[in-house]
Amino acid sequence: MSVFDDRKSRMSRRSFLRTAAIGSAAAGALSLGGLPRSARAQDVKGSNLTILWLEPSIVASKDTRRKAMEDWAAAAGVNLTMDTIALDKLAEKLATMAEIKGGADLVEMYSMDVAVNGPVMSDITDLATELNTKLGGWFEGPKSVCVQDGKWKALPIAIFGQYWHFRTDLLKEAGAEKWPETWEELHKIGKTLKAKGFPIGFTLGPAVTDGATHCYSLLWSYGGKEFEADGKTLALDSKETLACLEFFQAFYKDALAENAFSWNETGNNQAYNSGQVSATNNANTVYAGLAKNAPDLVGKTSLGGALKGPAGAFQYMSMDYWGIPSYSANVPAARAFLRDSFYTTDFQAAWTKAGNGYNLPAFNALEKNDAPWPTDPNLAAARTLAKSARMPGSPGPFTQTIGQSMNKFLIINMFAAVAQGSSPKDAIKKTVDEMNVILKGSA
Amino acid sequence: MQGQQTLSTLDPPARRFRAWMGRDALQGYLMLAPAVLWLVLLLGYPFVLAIWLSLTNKTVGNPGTFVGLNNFINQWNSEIFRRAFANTFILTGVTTVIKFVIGLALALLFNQQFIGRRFARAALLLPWIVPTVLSTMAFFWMFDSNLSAVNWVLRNLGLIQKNIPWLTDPTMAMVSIMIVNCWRGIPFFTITILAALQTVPKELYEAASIDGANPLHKLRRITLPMIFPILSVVIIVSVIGTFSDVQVVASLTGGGPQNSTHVLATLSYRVGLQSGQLGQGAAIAMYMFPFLFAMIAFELWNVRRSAR
Repeated sequence: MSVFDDRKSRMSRRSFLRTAAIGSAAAGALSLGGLPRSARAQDVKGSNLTILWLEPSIVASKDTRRKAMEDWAAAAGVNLTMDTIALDKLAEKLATMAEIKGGADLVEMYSMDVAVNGPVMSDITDLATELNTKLGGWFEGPKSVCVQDGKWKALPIAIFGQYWHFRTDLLKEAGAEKWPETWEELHKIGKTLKAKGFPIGFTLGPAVTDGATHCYSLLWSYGGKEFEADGKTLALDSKETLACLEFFQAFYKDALAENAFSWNETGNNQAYNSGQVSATNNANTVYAGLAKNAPDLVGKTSLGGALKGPAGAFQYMSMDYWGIPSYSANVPAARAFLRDSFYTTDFQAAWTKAGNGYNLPAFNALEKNDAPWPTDPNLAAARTLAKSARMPGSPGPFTQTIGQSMNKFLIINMFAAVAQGSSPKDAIKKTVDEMNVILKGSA
Repeated sequence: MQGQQTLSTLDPPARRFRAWMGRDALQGYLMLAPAVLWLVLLLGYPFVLAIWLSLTNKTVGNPGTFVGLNNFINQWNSEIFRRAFANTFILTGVTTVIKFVIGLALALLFNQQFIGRRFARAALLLPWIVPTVLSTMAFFWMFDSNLSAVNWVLRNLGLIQKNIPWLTDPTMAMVSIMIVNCWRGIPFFTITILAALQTVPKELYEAASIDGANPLHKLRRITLPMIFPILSVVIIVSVIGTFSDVQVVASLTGGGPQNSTHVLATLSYRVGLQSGQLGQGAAIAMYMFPFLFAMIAFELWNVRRSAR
């Protein structure tokens, strides 16, 4: 049943016919080459479409997406092949495909993969523009990754909501009735929590998502940034970054877990589930998995929003994207799938509902509709969270340099170095030196 | 016999061809040709391509242009690269010495008669036959910073008060990699040296005993010289394998913490394949070439010398 059924049931026959007529006309106007939608579906009938994708961690989200793909392929008469791949193998697979100019017709990518593979992706500016109108406008964060040199090389699939997970019982014991609003407040509470043996879990290891979630969010909230808006001029060596790292040095010593330097993407989940830390920032996979992984923490866990620093509250969130390789022989089928299935509001609403705050849409259209959003008050932030998602490189574009910097964990390592005793100035200098190596290598 | 032709009854060209084919040298080349072709296609071409890539600024999807030695110079300016370069030599050197000493000791032990010798020999092979990634993942869990079983045991035995930062401290992370590498490599040393020990004639030891030699004398004057040709091959093979190994570092630390445990192979993989900078990645990999070439040249020289 569509999540929009409650709204549809209130329509009169007359208004339905009127809406249908307008809708048909609009669909005809939007179709490629003036052909009606059904004719486009006819065009791709019999095509092969191979999709390379990362299966979402939340089962309901994965199943909903898989079924929609299969249903669309069956209805459109497209021979669909779905290849799944693990995130840590995706980059080399995409590189190989780009070099041999063969492989999947539609690929799912992480932000770094878009930066690296943009040159071999089709220009889909027309489709992105069409969908922008249909979906009420793309959010700026994902847009900064998708657009390269003014051309759309990818489309956002979803933004994965990152939330501060915290132990309500421990925070209460530390004198906090609710999740703090600022980093300074968390520092104060964290001091008490660490003294009681429950530090805050702040990922400082080679974890491209969770490490970035913690470190970039803190950096931005102090006004730090890697590059100016042009995406080329280094801006990391600033008084804002220095202030951030000086704060962090004390924050780490007073409030943070000291074993976070080797945490991969599951390190902080494991630490939270095993009761070793009092709070950590993560996708809501931790929250969703509590009943199975840490039943004693159900009812003692709540979710909080991004923390404010002198420059405001910002949150890094991981995102993934669709790209259509330019060497694909089945570009029309890939475009048809995106337009006619994946980016329909019905599918997006159903998928967002299934994700329950995990996969969030990267556009405005669903915000005002109640149906797709979690009913759990803890996940209320899901509705507006993705809108403010920020990407590395901000306020500039997400460039190849940023992608490489993330792959080398440079910003995460800058924080880790300070935690392990480097002076903030030295840590900044070393990071800037490495960024210069990347810049020279890319020149 | 009907239909059979002797050399003298053949036409001159056919006779020449038959005679030409009858030469040992030609037959040798012909028999070698498939293997040589195989090597050229699967090793030679990628190797030449890697050299070319290291001299270009090629990225994924872009052909790249010739940049001379810029990639090599640029990487040398990176502290992460210099650390990986040093790590590669330190890891190879330290683990080879440990594997050699323990492998030799175990081989000498297993060369003695004792109850359960066959079981012990079979058990010794286990670390070597388990897939590297699987065994390294097991070590990852044992050294895990949240729930390390090793720390739990040591703490409960009262041997440590505070957890050992196996994977969170840069030095300890390197030590952890060495432990896993040695754990995997020692069986190879032991079994190969054991096989070599069994080729040493017993009469030599008996004669030495009569002359009053003690066990250390026998080891220095008989065992080591007799097994040296095999020992040198084992060491070289191990050095080459460790020097270019990706799996243990990638699975155990991923190069962390703070990029402090990268070796050239893992850094090349991260920069070249994961970041799409194929030229830069190839340059990092090519830094391994002179050392590996020297090792292989030494091995060939050693094999030829032994054959003489």
